[in-house]
Amino acid sequence: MIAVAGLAAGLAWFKPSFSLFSGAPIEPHSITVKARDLSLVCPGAAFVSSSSSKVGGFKQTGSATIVTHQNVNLTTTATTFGAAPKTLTGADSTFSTVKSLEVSSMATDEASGLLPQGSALLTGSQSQFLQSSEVGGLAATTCQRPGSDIWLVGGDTRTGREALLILSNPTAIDATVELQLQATNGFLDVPGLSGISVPKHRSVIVPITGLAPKLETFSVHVLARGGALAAWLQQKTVRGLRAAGFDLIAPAPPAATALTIPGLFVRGTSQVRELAKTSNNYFDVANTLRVSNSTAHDAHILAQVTGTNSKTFGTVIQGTVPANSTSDFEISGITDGDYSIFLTSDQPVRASAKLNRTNASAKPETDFTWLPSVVAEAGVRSIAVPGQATSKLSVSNPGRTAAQISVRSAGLSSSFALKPGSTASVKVAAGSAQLASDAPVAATLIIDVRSSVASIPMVEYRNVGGKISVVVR
Amino acid sequence: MKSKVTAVVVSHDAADYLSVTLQALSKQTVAVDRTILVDTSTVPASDGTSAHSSSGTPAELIRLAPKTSLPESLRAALESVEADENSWIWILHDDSAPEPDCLEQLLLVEEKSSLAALIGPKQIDWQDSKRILQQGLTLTPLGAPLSLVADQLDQSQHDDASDVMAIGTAGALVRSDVFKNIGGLDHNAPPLAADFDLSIRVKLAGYRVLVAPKARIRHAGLSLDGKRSRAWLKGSPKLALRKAAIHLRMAYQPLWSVLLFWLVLGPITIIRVFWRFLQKRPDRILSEIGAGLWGFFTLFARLASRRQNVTKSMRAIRKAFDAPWSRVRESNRSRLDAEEADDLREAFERGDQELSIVAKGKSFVGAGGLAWMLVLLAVSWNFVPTAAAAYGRAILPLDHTWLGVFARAGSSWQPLGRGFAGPAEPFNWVLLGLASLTPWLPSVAITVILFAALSLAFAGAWRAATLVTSKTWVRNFVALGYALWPSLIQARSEARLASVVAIIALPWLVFAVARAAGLGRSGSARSMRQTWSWVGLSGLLLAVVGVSSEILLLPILLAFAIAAFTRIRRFGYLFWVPLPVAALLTPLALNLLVSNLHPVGLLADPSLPLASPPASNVLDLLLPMASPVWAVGYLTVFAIALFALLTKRWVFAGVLWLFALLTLSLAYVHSNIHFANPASALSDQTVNGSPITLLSAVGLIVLTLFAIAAEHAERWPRRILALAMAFAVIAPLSVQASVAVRNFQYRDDRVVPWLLDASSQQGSSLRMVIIQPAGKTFVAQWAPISGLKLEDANVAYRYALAGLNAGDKNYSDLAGLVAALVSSNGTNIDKALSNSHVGFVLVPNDQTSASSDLANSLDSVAQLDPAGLTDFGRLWRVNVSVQPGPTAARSPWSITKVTQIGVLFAFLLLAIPTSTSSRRRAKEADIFIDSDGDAQ
Repeated sequence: MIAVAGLAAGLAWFKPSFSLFSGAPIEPHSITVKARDLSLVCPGAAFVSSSSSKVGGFKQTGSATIVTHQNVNLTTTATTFGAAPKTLTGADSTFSTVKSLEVSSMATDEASGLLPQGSALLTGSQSQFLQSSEVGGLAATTCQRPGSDIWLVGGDTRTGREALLILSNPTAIDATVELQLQATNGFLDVPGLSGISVPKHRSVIVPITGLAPKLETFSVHVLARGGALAAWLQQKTVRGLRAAGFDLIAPAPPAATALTIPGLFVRGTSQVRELAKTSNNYFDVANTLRVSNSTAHDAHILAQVTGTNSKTFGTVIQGTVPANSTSDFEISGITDGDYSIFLTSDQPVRASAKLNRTNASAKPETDFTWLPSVVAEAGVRSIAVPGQATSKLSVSNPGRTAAQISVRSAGLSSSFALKPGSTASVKVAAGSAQLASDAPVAATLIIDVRSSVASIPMVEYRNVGGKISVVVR
Repeated sequence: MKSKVTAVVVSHDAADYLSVTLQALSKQTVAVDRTILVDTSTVPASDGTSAHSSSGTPAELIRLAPKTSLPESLRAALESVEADENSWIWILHDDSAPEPDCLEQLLLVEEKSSLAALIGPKQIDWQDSKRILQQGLTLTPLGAPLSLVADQLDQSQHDDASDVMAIGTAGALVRSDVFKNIGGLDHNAPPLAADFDLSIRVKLAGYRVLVAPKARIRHAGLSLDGKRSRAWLKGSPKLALRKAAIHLRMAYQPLWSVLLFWLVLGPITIIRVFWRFLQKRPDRILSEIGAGLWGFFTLFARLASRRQNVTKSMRAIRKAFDAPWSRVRESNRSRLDAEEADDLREAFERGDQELSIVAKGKSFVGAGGLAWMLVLLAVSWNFVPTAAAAYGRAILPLDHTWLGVFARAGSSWQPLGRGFAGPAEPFNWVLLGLASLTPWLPSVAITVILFAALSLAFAGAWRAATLVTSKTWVRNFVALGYALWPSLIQARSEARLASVVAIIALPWLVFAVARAAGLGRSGSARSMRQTWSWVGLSGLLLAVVGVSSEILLLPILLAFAIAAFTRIRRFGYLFWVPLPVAALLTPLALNLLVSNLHPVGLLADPSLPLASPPASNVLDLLLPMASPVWAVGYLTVFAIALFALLTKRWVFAGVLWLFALLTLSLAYVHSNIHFANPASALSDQTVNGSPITLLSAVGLIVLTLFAIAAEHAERWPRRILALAMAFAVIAPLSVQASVAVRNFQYRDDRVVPWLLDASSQQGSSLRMVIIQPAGKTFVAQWAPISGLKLEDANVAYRYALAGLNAGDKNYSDLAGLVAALVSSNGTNIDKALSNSHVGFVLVPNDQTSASSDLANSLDSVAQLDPAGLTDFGRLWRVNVSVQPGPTAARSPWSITKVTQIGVLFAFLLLAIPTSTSSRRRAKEADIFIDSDGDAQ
C-alpha cells in the first residue's frame, strides 16, 4: 500500500516537460493584390425642414467645411453629389460644400495600389457651426467609408429634439435600406423602416423623430442592399424657441466586450446645475453613457470614467443592458476636467457618450456632442483638423502596457508616455495631426468654437491591398 | 429363395474402429456370405486378409489410393458381385459396428417387403448404445438435409418407423441389381449428399427405402465429428453439409428453379452468413461462403447429376417425406438444447457456474437504479434540451435527414474543400447510431444524450460494479461517483460529444467483456451462443469507445489482452472482439500512415477538437477537472482506493492501481501531444490531446478499488468508508454537477442561413466560401452550401490540408479568388468563381472591425450581391454564372463503407440475444423468485 501510495504521489508531482507535434501547419498562400481606391463620404451641410408647412421635406442650410489629409503621392478627387469632380493635391486641403461629397483617392505614381491604407492614405473631417434660430451649435464628423451594415448609437426624439438619419449613396447603384430602431425595451415595431430607397449619388433623409417620436433612448441599425451607404444621425436640440445644440452622430465601431470612449471634456458643471433649476427645458444637460446590446443575452457592463490628472477623479458606472436593447446611464458626480471612458462588458456591446457643454454667456448657451467609442490602434495615424476652432486630441490607452505617444501638428511635436488605463489631451493645430504610438491607443479630436463642442473620432479605413495571406481549409 | 449378402467394408484411416467393426461383423447371428474390405487408408493399419467374415471365410482385400472416394470404392468392390434380386450388399463404414442381430433384423424387413431395395439400421452412438444417432433422413422444406431422429435416448419410441425418404450408407443393405441399375453412388455428389441421392434414386426406380428400427449399428460418425482427414469429406463436416444441401437442390428441383437458385446463390449465401451471425454460429460462416462458391462454380457438375423427367416424381416424394417446419424447429431446438447442456456441463466442470440469485445481489431496478437516474436527470436541469440541436465550439448539428448522416459514415469522399477523397471520420458511425434513435430529426438525439449523459453513465457503471461487489450501496456509490466524475461533467459542459459517448460506453464495455471472458462476480456466459452474444456486444461497444476516443483504446486493448491471455480458453472468442473497431479505424490509420505520414494523428481526438488546459504534471491534469473548492473531495476517493490493497484481493487491487497510474501517465502524455488542427489559431494550428476520457477511465478504476475495499472490509471500517465516500466524494461532486455551466447553446439544426439551407435541400451542388479575417491573413473555408455539419469534421482532412494548400492547384486558385474578393479591386473573377463552384460568400458575424472592413470590401465586388445579415453572418450571392459542383462524387457508397457495414451488421446480429436464450431466461424467471435481501 505504501509503495503504491508513494508511486502515485511521485507521479502526481513529477514534472516531465515535453511536447510532441503531429502534423504540419498550413503555409498560407502569399498573394499581392492591388487595393481599391479609398473612398470617403462627408454628409454636407446641416439638413433642416424645407418649409414650416410641409412635413417631410428637407433642405440644407449653410455650408460645411471639409478638411482632408492625404498621402502626398496621391491625387484625390472631391465629387459633390451631382456635380463635376474637383482634384485635390498636396497633403492637406480645405474647402466648403453644401451637398454630400465623396472624396476618393487615386494613386498617381503608385499604380499598383500598394500604398499603406488607413488615415495615412486619406482622411477627412467635416465641421459646421450654426447660430440660426432653427439650428445652433457645432457639428463635426469624420468622413466615412460607405458600408452596408451601420450602427448609430445616440439620438433623442423627445419634444424639442430632432433626429434625422442621413443616408448618402456615393455608388453607381441604387440602394435599398432596412432600418431597425433599438430602444430600451427592444426593437421597435413601427412602419416605414423597410424598403427605403437611396438612389445612386444621392442623399436621403429619414426623420427618426417622425417615425418614433418622444423616444429618449435608442440606437439605429442601417442595413443596405445594393449600393453601399454612408450614414449619420443629425441631432439637434431646441429649448423653447432657442436652438440649443447640434451634432452629427458617427457610426459606432463593431460591438466588443471592451470599448474606449476618449474625449469626455466636461466643462461648465456648475452652470448646468443653475440652468437646470431655472427651467424644465434643461432636463437633458447631464452627460450620459449610451450602451447598445444586440446580443441575445443581457450585458453586464462596467464603465470607468477616468480623468487625466488627480483632480479629475472620475467615477464608475455599473449596470445591465437587457438583450437586444439600448440603455442610458447618467455620468454623474464628476467635476470639470478631461476624461475618458473605459467600458467592459460580458457581452459584445456598442457605446457612445453624450457630452454636454454649457456657457450661459454664449450663443447657443448649450451644445452637445455624441462621443463614439473608438478602436485602439498602434502605429502612425493622421486626422484632419478643422480650422477656426480650438482642437484638442484626447488620447486614451486601454491596454495593459504603457504607450509611448508622439503627436505632431503644424510642425510642432509632443511626446509623452501614456500609462495603461489613463488618458491625455494634446492641443493640435488646424490642418492635420499625426499620432504615433507603440501600443494600441484610441483618440478623438474635440473641437470647440465659441463654447460649442463637437467631436471627430480617429478612425482607420483600410482597403485590403499589398501582400496578403490566404489559408484555404 | 435365400438372400445372399455381401458385406462391403470401406476403411479409411481408422484402424482401431475397423477391427471392432470386423469383429462385430464376424459375430452376426446371420452370417454374411462374402466380405470385401476396401482400404483407402494412407497407411494400412493391418493386413486385411486377417479379417474374417462371420461364415469363417477370409475377407477379400482391395487396396485403393487414399484419395479414392466412397462411390469409387464401392464400385471397385462390387465389380465382382453378381447383380440379381436375391443378392444384397451390406455397406459398412469402418466406424460402424453392427450389433449381432443387425443383419438378421435387416433381412427380416427385407422378407416382409418385396419392393424393399434399400434398408437402413438404427444408428446408435459408438460409446452410448442408448442414444440414437440417426434413423432415417429427410429434407427440410428448403431442401437442407435433416436427420429424422438425432441424439435422442432410445426408448423404442421410434421403433414403428418404416418408409423414409433416405437413409445413411453406414450399415445400409441394398439390393445389388437395383444398386447397379441406378449406377451406384453418384460420384458427382458431394459426400454427404450421396446417401440422399442414392435413396432418392432407389425410390425413383420404384422401390422402397426402409429403416429397420430393431437392426442397430454403433456408429462413431468420424466424418461428421471431423475426426477424419478433411480430404475424406473434401472440407469440414459443416462445409460438406452445406454442399450436400446445395447439391440436392440443384439435382432435384425443376431446371428453372435451379437456374434461379444459381443466379441468387451469392445473395443467398450473404444472407445465410448474417443468419449464422444471428444464430451465434460464426463457426459456420466459412462453410457457408465456401459452399456458396462451390455451388456457383460447379454448376455443370450439379446439372450433370440431374435425372431426366423426375421432377413430378420428386415432387411426390418430397410431398410425402419432407419434414414439416414444426419438425425442423423441433430438431433445431433439440440440437441447441443439447449443445447448451454440453456447455453447461463444461462450465460446471470449469467452476464457471452462475452465482445464485442471493449472491448476485439486488437487480438494478430493485436497487433504486431508476430513481437515481431520475435524480441525475434533475441534476442536469441546466442541460434540458430547448431546441432541436446543440451548437457550440465542440458541437454542431447533424444533417437534417438520417440519410444525410448515413452518407457520411464510412464514405471515401468528403464534401470538404473542393471535394476530399479520403476516409470519413470513424466517429461518424457513432453519430449514425445516435441519429438512428431519432431518424426524423437526427440532431435531437445528441441533445438527449447530452442531457441524459449522467444517467446513462450511472446505469453503465452500476452494471460494471456488479462484477466486483454484491452490495447495493457500494454499487450505487460506484455508479454515482462515475456519473458525477468531473471529467464527464466537463465533457458534457463543453459538449465534447465524442468524449461523452466514450465515457458512457466504457463501463458497458467492461461489463460485456467481463461476461464474454468469464470474469467477475457475475460469472461467465454459460453457453456458446451466450458467449458469442457477449462477444458481439463487446465488439460493438469497443468500436463505439474506440472511435469516440482513440487514445482510450490503448489502455483498453492492453487490459483486453491481459484478460484474453488470463482466460486462454476464451481466447478463441475474445480474439474477434477488436474486429469492428479495426474495421472502422483501418482506413483512417492507413491514410494517416501512408498518405500523410503522421501515424500519431490516429490518437487525435475525433470530431471537433477542443484545446485542453496545459498541465505541467499529473496533478495539474486532475485539478482543472474540478473547481478548487471541490478538489479535495474529488481526490478523497484516491485515498479511499488505497485501502483495497489491504484486503484479501490485494493482488488484483495492485494490478488495478498500476493500471490507473499507467492510464494517468498516458493522459499526461496525450495532453502534451499537439495534433494538427487548422481550425485553431493560425500561429500554431494545433490542438493538444484531451485527457478527459482517460481520466474517466481512471475514475472507473479508482471507484472499482473503492468497491473492492468496501466489499472485503470489516463492519466498522466499511461504515467509515461509506461515510467518507458519501460526504467527502459524492456530496461535493453532486454540488459541482448541479451548478455546471452549459457552454453551448440549443438552437435549430441549421449551420447556414435559411437561403442556403433551402437551396441545398433543393439539390444545389454549388459551394460557398466562408471568409474570416485574421490580421493580414484571410482564412477561407470552402464548403458546400449546406454547410459543414458535425459529421463533416474529419481528422484525415485536418492532416491533409497542409499538403493540399501547398500542392493542389484548386486550392491556390481559390486563394487567388479570395484575395481578389477581399481586395475588391475590380479584377475579373467570373471564371475563378465558376471554376471553384462558389455561389455564395459568407463572412461570419464576429463583430470585429476586420470583419466589418471585409464586408465593406465585398459590398464593392461587382460579382456579388448582398443577401443580407443572417444569423450566421453577412451573406453575398454570386451574380454571375457558376458551374455547378461535381455531382458524381456525391455517392455515399464505397467498398470501405460496404465492408464496415458488413462487419457492424454481423456483430449487431451476433449481439442480439436469440430466442432460445430469451426463452431460457424466461424459464429461469419462472423458476426462481427474486431475492429482496441484500447479500452481506
